[in-house]
Amino acid sequence: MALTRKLKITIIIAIIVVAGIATYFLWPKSARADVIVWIQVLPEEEQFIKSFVNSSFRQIYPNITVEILNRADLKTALLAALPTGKGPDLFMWAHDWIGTIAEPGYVTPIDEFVTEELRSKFLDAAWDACTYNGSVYALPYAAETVALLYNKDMVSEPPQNMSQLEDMIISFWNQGKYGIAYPVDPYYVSAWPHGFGGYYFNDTTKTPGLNTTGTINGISYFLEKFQPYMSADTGRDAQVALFTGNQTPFLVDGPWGIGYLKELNMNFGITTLPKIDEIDAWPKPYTGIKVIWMSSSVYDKQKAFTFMKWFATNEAFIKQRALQFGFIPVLKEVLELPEIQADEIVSTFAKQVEMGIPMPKSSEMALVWTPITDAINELFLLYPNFGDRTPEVVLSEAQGKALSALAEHQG
Amino acid sequence: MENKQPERKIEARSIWKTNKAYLFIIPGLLVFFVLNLYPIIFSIYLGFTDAYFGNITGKYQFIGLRNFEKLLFSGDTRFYYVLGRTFLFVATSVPLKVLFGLALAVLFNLQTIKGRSVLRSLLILPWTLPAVLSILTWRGLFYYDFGAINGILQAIGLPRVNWLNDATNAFVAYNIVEVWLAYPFMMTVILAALQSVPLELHDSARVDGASAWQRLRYITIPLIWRPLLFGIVLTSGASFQAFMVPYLLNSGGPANQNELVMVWGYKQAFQNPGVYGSMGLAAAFFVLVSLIILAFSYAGLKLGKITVE
Repeated sequence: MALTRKLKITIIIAIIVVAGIATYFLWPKSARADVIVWIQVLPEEEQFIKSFVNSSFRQIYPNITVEILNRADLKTALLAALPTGKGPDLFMWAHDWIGTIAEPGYVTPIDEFVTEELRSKFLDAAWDACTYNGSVYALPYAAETVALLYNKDMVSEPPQNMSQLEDMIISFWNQGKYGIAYPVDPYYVSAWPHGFGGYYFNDTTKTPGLNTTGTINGISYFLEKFQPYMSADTGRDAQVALFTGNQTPFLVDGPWGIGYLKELNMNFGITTLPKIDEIDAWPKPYTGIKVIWMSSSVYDKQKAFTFMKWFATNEAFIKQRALQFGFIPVLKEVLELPEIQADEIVSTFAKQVEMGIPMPKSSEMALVWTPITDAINELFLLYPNFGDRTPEVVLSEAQGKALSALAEHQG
Repeated sequence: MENKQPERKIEARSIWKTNKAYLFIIPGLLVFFVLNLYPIIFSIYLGFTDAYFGNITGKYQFIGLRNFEKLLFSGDTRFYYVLGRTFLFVATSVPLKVLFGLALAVLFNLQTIKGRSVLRSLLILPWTLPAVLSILTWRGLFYYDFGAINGILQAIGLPRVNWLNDATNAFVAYNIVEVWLAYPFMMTVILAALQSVPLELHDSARVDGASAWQRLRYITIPLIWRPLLFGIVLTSGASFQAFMVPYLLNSGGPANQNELVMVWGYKQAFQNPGVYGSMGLAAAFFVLVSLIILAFSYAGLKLGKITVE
């Protein structure tokens, strides 16, 4: 008997529905891991972390299961997950988020686990980055900032000061290359306003300083020295591509980009941002401390802390990560190792961190990022034909915006 | 008296029929209430609060019309700038999409073109690709130093164009990508309409000596006008809500000069999670924007008399 069309469709739909329900109920459910960790790293680093966890951590703690998820959209995912309590047990981010996520209670203090012995393992600045309003919320595992990378095939000796750098930049520009690759972003640019005595935000007085003389001079200096010799594409990926494509000898970047350069087998060197000889001062870039947080929806606090502590204090893990990916350790015993001190990349970044200024921890800093980003982008586009939109005008306007946002925040 | 019985039977059967229909749409309605209606009402409510990342769990407060006042009357003209830029984008991208779609549809409706169905399927490709992939590929093509477009321009002796870091050029780039993404939709709508135009009309017009242009102008367009207008209204809505194109190409840049409504609202709500009241303000912003889109779509439909009375 031939089936009617209606019957055939009904049977197909029924099969799909039954199959769906059966899959849902019969699919073997993997039990939840004891500790779920969200990270955001490059694929090669993800492999490294996972294999280390599988070998080293598993060996020491066979009873703790860990699931590591590398999320390209980590920030967005955390913004959505943290308030709803659906987040991971642990996650990694730079320390400057501490005010933003600790104030509403999205992360949980770990004071009960903290001992003097643990505290003394880390650099003071790194430990300080994990505390907020007297409580410890995270453990530090690396420091980061930006330094000057150079292509050794194009430049034999790195510049000692800004005049030398400027000469090199101009000479490459005259050869039809770009003078320097420099992502235009307030974090990357911060070295110059700080070098001139300015600041974006004072963490103690909680006031923005976008229109201070130092900030205005520093940003003007940055534009004057670099803007004319740079490509029009100012995003980080385009700028890095110029450096890896031998289109420019210099790149300002942080440890996060080192793994990629090594993978390409680039012959590159590193030096601290050169001294501003005109005013006899050093540029001071913002520094960040990479920390591992415990969310307030943590499943098993004890187990989560065990992993957290291993992650931040396992010597072999931290050392290998530093040597392979240019991470700057903040664990004293690793910093003292001869291999670490002999490594050009790690030791230069470490030196640059010492010269830098920690990013503010206050949640109010968020009110300053947008105005300063907009101001720097606008000035970069206009340079050198500012018209009536001079750095003074644009930065004062940005300061006004930050102040009114702050007033609203407090009021 | 004898007639009563069958009448009641019919009535009962029709009630059962209607009720049965309700039974079947319950799942759909449930999905609509939970996934559409509730978020819409909640978003509207958020527009009247000081919600942000730090208090979104429920500690936010009702602040009346403050957000709307801030957007419209605070002296910060950003709202009007973003809205103006968006209208400009609608005004440029929609005609381009329609013309491009119309041209291709008319072309592929010609009997003389060989292998039409294969070509047509190929032309629908942009529709089937994930938009994110297409847009990121376009971004690569637009790169100043390595992009293929500048490579071609240079190869034929023209100067390179700063596509993504110049406000006007970036706006042109948005239009190009938007047309690429949306022409398959317009083409399909128009093609379907074209196929319903009787060939006899063309034949008799041809006999009367009408040129190809005259036939397009006086026969084809009037006959496909309603579906065409419907397509225009829908695609205008899409242009108005463009998010991925500006956001992925250069985040509404350079220096925020090409921020369209969706990009601005998204940045407001999510870019800097510590900004007090930012989600409330973004919600209020989207309420205003939705009202504007609604008004325009309604006007468009009314104008074309497409609404079913």
